[in-house]
Amino acid sequence: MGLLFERHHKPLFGFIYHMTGQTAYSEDLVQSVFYRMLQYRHTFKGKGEFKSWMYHLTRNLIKDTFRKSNRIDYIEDVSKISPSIESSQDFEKKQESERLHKSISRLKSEHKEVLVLSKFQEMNYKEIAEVLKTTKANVKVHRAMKELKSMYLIKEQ
Amino acid sequence: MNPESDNQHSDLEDRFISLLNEDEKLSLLSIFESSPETKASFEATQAIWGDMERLTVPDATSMDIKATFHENLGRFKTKEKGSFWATLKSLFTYKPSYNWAYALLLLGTGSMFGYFIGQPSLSTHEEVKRLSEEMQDMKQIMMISMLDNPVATERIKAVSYIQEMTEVDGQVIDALHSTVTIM
Repeated sequence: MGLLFERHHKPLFGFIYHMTGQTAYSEDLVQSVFYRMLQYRHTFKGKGEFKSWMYHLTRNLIKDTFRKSNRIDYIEDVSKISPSIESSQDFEKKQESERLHKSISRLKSEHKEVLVLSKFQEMNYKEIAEVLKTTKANVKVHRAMKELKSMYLIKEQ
Repeated sequence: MNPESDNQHSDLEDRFISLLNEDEKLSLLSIFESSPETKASFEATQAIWGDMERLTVPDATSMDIKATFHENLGRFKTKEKGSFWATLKSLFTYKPSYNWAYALLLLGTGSMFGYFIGQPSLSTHEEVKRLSEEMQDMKQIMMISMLDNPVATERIKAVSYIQEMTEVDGQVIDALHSTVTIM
C-alpha cells in the first residue's frame, strides 16, 4: 500500500484539487481515499484497471463528503493556481488562468469530472467510462468543453 | 447547421481532443472550409483546451501527507489484526500454502501407516520358518516313500528330486544308497 501511495497520491491530489479547489481539503481526502481503499480492497477484483477503481472510489468519496457537509461543491483557492507574476504579461496570464479556473469550478459536476479526468489525469474515453461506470459513448468531453467555453467567453466579453 | 452535422462536428471535436488520425483530420479540414463559424468555434475550443495547461496544481507539499498516511496505515493494521472478524476471515481465506502443507501431511501419514501395516511381525517370521521346516520334512518323507517304491521309474524320479534338495538327513541318504545298490 505504501508503494501505491507513493505512485498515486500526487495525481489523486490533483484530481481532487481540480474537483474541489481546496488544497487542505484535497490532502485530507487523499488520506480518506487510501483508507477507504484499505477497507474495501476486497471489492477490487483485479478486473479492469486499478487506477479506474481508485478514481471511482475517490469520486464517490467526494460526492459523499459534500452531501454530508451540505456545502457548495467548490471553494476557490485560486491564489495557488499560477506561478508568481513578474511582468504585466504574466499578470494578464494569471488573470486569465484565474478566470478559467473559476469557469471550471462552475461547471456541472459531471462535466467537470469528464474534463478533469480527460485533460488533467490524461485518461482516454475508455478509462473515463470505467471510472464513471458508464459506456464510452456516454463520455462527451465536447459537451463539457461547450459549457466551459460559454462560461469563459461570456465572462471575457 | 443541421443537428446531424452538429453531432458529427462534436464527435470530431472530441476525438481531436484525444487524437485524430489522418483521414479524420482531412474530414475536419473539409468541414472547416465549408463552415468558417465551425472553424472559429473549434479554434476557440482548442485555445481554451490549451490554456488549461496553465492551470497548475499546488504541490501536496504538506510534509505530513506521507507521515499521516503511514500513521493511518499502522493504525489500520493494528485494528485489523486485533479484530475478531479479521481473524475469522483469515481462517477462510484461500491460502495455497495450506493446501500443500495438508497434502504433504496426508502423504507422510499414509506412507508411515503403510510402512507399519506392511511390516511382518516377529511371530509371522517364526511361523514361516516353522512351515518351511515342516515342508522340508514332508519332502524327505515323500522322497523316502518314493525310494522305497517297487516301481523303478518312481525311484528314478525320487533320485532326481533329491538332487534338487539342498538339505537331506541320514535316513534319506541310506534310502538313496539302498536304491542305487538295488538298481
